[in-house]
Amino acid sequence: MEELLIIRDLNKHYDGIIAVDKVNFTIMPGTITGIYGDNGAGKTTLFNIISGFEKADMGNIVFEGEDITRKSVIYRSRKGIGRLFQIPRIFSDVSVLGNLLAAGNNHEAKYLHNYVLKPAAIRQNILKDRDKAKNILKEFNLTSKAGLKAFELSVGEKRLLSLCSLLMNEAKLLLLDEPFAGINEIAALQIQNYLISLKSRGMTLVMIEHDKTKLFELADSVYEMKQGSLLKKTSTSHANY
Amino acid sequence: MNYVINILIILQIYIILALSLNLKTGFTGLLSLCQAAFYGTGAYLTSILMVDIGLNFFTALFFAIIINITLNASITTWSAGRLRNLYFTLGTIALQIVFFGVIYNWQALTRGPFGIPGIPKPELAGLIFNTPLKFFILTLFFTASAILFFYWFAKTPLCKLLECTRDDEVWLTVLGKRPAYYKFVSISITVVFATIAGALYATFTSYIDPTSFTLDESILVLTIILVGGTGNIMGPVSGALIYVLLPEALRFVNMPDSIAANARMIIYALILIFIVRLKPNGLFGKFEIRG
Repeated sequence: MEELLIIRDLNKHYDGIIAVDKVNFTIMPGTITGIYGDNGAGKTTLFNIISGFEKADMGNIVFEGEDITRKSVIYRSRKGIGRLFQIPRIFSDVSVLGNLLAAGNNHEAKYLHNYVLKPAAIRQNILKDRDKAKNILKEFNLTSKAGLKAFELSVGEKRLLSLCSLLMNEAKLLLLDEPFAGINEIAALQIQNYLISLKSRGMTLVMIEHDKTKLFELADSVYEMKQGSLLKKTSTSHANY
Repeated sequence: MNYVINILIILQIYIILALSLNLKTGFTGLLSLCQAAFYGTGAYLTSILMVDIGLNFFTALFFAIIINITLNASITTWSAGRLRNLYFTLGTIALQIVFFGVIYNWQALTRGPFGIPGIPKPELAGLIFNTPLKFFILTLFFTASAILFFYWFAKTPLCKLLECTRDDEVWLTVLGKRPAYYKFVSISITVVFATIAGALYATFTSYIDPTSFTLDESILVLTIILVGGTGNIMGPVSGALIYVLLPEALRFVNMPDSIAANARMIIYALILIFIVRLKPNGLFGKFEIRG
């Protein structure tokens, strides 16, 4: 099987301080990769570089065989790299369903003239997106919240909504920055189960987490990040999931 | 009767202006203080095209919209891409001041402080809108079109994406959407309707000068949507109703002539403060205006 993501000799410095130091790793499709490390070890910087928010000083990022090192966040997102932030990002004044519809790929609806020239295509896409969004909300147990404004959700639900939006956006690789931070155990267990179900569907996940036990429980490969360097800790099999 | 019709014409011009600003500021979250520049550019371009080149009102309006989008929408979108929140607002103030400077000083084109007199009335297939009632009907057509357009547009997926741009640009980018594009759409639509309002104002008064398009005018339109509320149609319409009709209603409050004008302004200001204090999001506001 071909690698989904290849990171080669990635380097990032801030005024002489090493944030990411010659990081090399590969991600296979349909796997969960975990990264842990102390605060300031460079985990989030690594995610920022992979998702395009920061540029690497050196090194390459290859996604699905294409070098995307110099590509924008938007380009990477359209290729299928989804990023979940530690503090969940949502469209707070938009409804839960509206958040998902906005994440959909209804290209015709982007252009004002299409509302005159291609109204049927737009209507059809809206119906298709609506069905898809409702299915995702059902899967993540958010159907009853569909009409609420996103800011009315709990932190755990907001995180789920972000995750749902990335699925709606058809992300292939999910970069999850501390998906269990700031939520209670029940919500954490719920998210954990969803992540396992995403993996079983063939999605690829890379996860930053402070809780090592959770990582070893969930991930196929676990890395420790220390002063910008990535050290492989173990490789586990989760066939039982 | 003409007095009432004239007030209703002015009211409709402000409704169009407020509805268009509502899209940019309320839906898209771009707190902007250059609405008078968009409005003034529309008024000046239409007037120049009609007076100097001799174009018909509707043809002049069409070209004024194209030029206004090319000039103002491009500059504002460019600054919206580089400046955030209050810095963007400061950028729009700069645009407003530059606009005023240009129309005040470019005398060869705008006649500077002397203004442009003798702007002809609109004409369509031989029908000249030269009486207050006829002009009211023309304005009503444009106002109704604006209300229907914004009512329809608010329900489109495109408008939802403008709301998303307001809420979180970074997240929109992560989802593969280009916030700059949505800002351009929002600003362009704002410019189109501000140009229409400007063209109506110029042909209604038959005379324009720079004093009608100052920063004060931009603040005033922003006040209208602050009082009425943003994010829906009712907000800007009710804000414009209060702004235009309340001072007129206060004329009927009997006061000694020596203090009447100032006292009316004080009562008007107190009522506005009371409304904003009681309803911080405006009378019908869906969203809070963010700076």
